[in-house]
Amino acid sequence: MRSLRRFLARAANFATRRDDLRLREEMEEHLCEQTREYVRAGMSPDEARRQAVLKFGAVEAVREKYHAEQGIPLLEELAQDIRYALRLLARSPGFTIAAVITLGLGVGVNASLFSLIYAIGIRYLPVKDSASLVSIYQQYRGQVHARGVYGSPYYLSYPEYANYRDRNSTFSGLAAYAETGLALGGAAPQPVSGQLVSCNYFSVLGAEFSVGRGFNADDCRASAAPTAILSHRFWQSHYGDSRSVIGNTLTLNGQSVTVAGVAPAGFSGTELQVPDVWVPVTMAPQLLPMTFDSRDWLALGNVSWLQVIGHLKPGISRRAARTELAVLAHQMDAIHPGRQTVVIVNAGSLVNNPEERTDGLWIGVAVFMLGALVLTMACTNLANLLLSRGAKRQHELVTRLALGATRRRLLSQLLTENMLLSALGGLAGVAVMLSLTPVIIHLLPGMPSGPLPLDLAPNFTTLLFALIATLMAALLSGVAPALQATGPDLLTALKEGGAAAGHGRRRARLRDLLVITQVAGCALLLGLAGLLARGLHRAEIVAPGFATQSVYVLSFDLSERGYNGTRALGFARELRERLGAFSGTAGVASSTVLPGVSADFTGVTIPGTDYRGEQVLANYVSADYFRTMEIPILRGHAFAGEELHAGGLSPALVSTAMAQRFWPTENPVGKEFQAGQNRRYQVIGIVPNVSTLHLGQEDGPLFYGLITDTGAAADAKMFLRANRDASGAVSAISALVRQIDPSVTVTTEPYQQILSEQLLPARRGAVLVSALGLLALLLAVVGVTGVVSLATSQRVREICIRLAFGARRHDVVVLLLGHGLKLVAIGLAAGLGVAAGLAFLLASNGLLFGVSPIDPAVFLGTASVLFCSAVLSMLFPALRAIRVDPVAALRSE
Amino acid sequence: MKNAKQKADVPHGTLSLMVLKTLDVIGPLNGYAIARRIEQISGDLLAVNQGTLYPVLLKLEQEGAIASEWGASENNRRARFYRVSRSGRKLLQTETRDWEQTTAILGRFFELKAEDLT
Repeated sequence: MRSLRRFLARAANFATRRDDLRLREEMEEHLCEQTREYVRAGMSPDEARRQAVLKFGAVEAVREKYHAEQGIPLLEELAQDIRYALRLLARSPGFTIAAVITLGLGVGVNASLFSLIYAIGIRYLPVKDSASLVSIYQQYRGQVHARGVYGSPYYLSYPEYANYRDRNSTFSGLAAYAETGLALGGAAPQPVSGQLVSCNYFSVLGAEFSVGRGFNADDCRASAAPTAILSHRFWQSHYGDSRSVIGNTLTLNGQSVTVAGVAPAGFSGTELQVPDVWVPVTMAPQLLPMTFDSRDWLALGNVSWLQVIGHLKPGISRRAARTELAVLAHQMDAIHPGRQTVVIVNAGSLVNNPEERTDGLWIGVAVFMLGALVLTMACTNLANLLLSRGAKRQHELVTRLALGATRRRLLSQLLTENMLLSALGGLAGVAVMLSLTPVIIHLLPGMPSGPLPLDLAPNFTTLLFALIATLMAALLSGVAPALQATGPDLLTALKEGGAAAGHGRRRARLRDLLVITQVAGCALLLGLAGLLARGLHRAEIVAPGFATQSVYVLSFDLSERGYNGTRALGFARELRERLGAFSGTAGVASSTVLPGVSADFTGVTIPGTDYRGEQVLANYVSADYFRTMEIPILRGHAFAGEELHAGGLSPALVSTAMAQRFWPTENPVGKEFQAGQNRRYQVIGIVPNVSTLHLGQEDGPLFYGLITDTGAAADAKMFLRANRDASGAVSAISALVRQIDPSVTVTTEPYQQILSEQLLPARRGAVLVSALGLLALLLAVVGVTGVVSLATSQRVREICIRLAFGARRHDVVVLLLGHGLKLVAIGLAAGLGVAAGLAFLLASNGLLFGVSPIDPAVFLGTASVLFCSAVLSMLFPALRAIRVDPVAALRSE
Repeated sequence: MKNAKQKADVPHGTLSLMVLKTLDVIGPLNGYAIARRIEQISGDLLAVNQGTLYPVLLKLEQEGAIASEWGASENNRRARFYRVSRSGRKLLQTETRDWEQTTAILGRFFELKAEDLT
């Protein structure tokens, strides 16, 4: 109680900065009375005063003790340190700004990358009771019996979902959903994103409807009239907030559905792609394509197409839930002998699918490594700045040490300064994070375009991350320079006037290492950015080997409309004939593959050779394909017609690569091979290589068969190449399709646009790396300038002596630059070496589009850009150094 | 300086106890008067370094054991007068009891002879 009272009194004094006026008055009074006493005893007034002062003791010590009792000494010391640090920082604004910006950028970039990863993969979905929300996936071991996959192999089938839902005791609710694209509208359908959901989806997720209602069990009955729920955003953009939309009829994939409700404003579903429309899962047979030889999606047991999400009952752990579901899964495995189902129960965040999480993890790791590289560079920069500062302040520190400050006191002063700087840097980092996160999100490869359901507001975790990153950066960059600045050589430094030889060299070596690190990091980022950019450029300008200019791609929903291969062939033939009749049409053709976007591999066996089941690319096309796509026939001839070659050999054209692979010394025309389901082909012609698999890169072996030879005709695309006047044929497409079959919807897109979208992830990656590379360049230039200007300022005496002895200024500049350039060269070599290593990795993943991983243009370019920047940043301080007047400088030393 | 070395420092805590006792017995006093009284009673304990009294006074005041206000000294000058508060008195009682106990125990130890322990 008493000590608390004392502390409060001290704190109050500390806060009000009470002085010791009262003490001084009391002391004066004390001395007066004592003096009077002594005078009365017979001393002379002077002697009496002297004795009184002696008796009182050391006034300063008393004052100090009184002061210590009055306030809180530790806090006062800290406040003093902070005041001093603030004054110092304010006195060198250049240093302060450079340090704060450096730290802010380094911390900010990392914090915003983290907040993205947090929002996507860690943060719970924004639904009611999100902590008990889990997602359920399955993985199979052993014999899987040709399980059908629509989406991801980790998804569940409807019977599996129903089994878990109805027989578990650990969940308070289990909901299932499947993502799919839908066509909205009857006459000119527009694509919308949709989800098929179980009818308890909204109630499990706790969405409360204010407009209309959510799904209920009745909507999922077999006899129920089809219903739909609109997303809030879709409702606002298409119906302008009008409540009268409830009960309206929409046409989705040709089916009429009634709008039952509008999801609440904050409800964004369970996936990164927010759906526009939700429909009951029971509409799957009408809305999803016919595949796996059946339409009956709800009855198919061995098909992966549903994602499952649910709430655990209170007190139930994920492990307990998984154990129970594993028992249920084991019972289902009994129907499929040799199969073992592994149930995966993950926490309910935005990206739950184990497959996506693995991919995302790799993207995250790669992006984080880049971020860490930038932070490291920022740290080295800051360390450099602090080292330079320590060197400049050596005189001050030595003086303070000589005046009686302890080393601990000096160290705490320097660390306080550092912490203050870090705090400012951290604040800048948070500001950078706030402004950068929404930008970076659209640069991350693999993000759907359009608005994302991500909550990017700063929260405890992301701010904690920023704090930790700041502290780490502060420690990494601050401790070594502080120790060095207050190190044991200080007194030697005092004696030698600030040019302590051994100490200076050690310091210089650390600085050299920092410069090398910086240049290397910068070279790495710039090199990679250059390669990616060049790859993209190449992918955009290098001719893929087929026509893309004024070529349109037509896609149909034939398999969704129940077309089989034969009907689809008939449909396509009729449409091609009608389109071909337009004067603007230069050619129309069908193809099962969309080169540059999709590809198809088939095993090929050459009779009489060792080639068995060799994987080659295959494309099944209509006879007019080569003329339409402007692919020349090098040898032999193109397909004559589409008639089925009953029983006998099917005609095929092969690419030069395939010809060279299998018949390097012979004429391939007339040769036979087997492909697909033991269909026998005869080569009738050779065509040049094109870029199907990776844009900018020629394919390996590829053959073309007739589209009539494949069962996949219902999923084929159609190409329309227009000459001068494209508008006639293109605008007629929808009408012609409707004439043939009104239920079929067609999408027409320019081929070039499709290819350009194909490059979007690579383009985003390149922009991200380039931005980080430019940031690194900025950091490196600041760092190199700082180091060189410090090194030269320390060599002023030497420079002056050289000048005094007749050295030419030009020689001195060369001398000063020489050392720096050596460091830059070492850093460049190291950085570009690592870049080349990573580039091989990128190239093997097809991300360089045929650009060599050691592309000389990129590497020479990076080297020269960095070199020039480095020289320029060194030249400035060097020129300033030689402009000093030798006599004046030497005298001041 | 010679004097100071010969005399032991005031034991920790005793000075505040003396201050409290002095104020309790005599009533409100200013700093000089407290120093003089302690000097008179304790012999030469506070003959030097009288200034150390003031931080102790401040500590006691911040703890709430004593209170102070401005008043006029004997020669009619402004001086700070200290008096014991109620909690100071309570503190004095407990401290006195503690001291008496301690000195009693120590006293018994000082009278200890070898045969007492056998």
